[in-house]
Amino acid sequence: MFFLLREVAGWLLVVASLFLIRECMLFLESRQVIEAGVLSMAAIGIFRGGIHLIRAATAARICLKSQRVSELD
Amino acid sequence: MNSESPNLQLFKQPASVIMYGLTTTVLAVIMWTILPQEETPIPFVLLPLFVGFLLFLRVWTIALLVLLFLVVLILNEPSRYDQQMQPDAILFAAGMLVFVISACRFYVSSAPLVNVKQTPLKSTRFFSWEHWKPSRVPHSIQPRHAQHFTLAEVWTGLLRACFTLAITMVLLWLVPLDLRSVQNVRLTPSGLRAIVLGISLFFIVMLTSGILSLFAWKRLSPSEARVYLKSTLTDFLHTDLRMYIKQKLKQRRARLKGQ
Repeated sequence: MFFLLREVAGWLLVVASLFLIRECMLFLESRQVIEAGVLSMAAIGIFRGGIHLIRAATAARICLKSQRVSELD
Repeated sequence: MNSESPNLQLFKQPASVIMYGLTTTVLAVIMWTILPQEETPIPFVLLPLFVGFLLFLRVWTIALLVLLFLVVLILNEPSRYDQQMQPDAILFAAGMLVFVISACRFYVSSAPLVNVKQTPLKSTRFFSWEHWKPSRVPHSIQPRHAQHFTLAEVWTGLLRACFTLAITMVLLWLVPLDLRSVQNVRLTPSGLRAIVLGISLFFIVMLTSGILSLFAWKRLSPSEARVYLKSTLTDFLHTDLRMYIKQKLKQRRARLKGQ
């Protein structure tokens, strides 16, 4: 359950980073380069954080699955 | 029998708790009354006062102060945005935040502490807060007994704050501080096109590689996943555990070499 929450949080962070990227492109359309630069840095950080959470959750799920299989054997 | 360290016992005394509570209240009132005044910039004189209080405050009170500080800043942001920002206010805020964050980093990462040899001077109440110091060469893992910042942590925080202040002052000197100037910055169409294409390409590559690596990630073997989990979960918060594992690995390698 804990790792499931972690994965959901990771996907939410990825979605949030996509939203920030969209905002960043809107800034660029209106030629506001500085604002776009700041937002792009934030988007990259949030995206990497989200991916990290998903990876940890996936690895934990694989570990739990292998543990259950070994217990059944 | 009480097995806690003398420092912890000292900080649990009722008189100390009352003193910390009073100083916290005074600081909160000062911030609450001075910051909302639009005409008054944050006085620089408060910086040594804050630093002096921080030396004697416990961690949770500092966290509370930082939260209050942020809440006041956020509440006043709409009224302050239209005005020209004061350089000394920016310097003050930057220095304070860097100092507190860099000092808190030690606490969060729970660096192992070594017991400094007691001297008659250090056994007094005033100097007792430097009883524990972070160890640079960990021969053994010790739990952190002190619930407050040590001398080394405070000095590191101050050093980083001074460094940041110096850089901020140079930047403020180079760039005129006017919020409207940010909105007036415009590039030529060709320069803008290059930037837009570059950023678009970067985002596309980042998203594609990130999503694709996630699908590949699900094919990890259980042993690989275990290694990744161990290294990840002991990476950021548990530095003491990480050091312990590294030390064990080093010993095992040395043993294997000897065989």
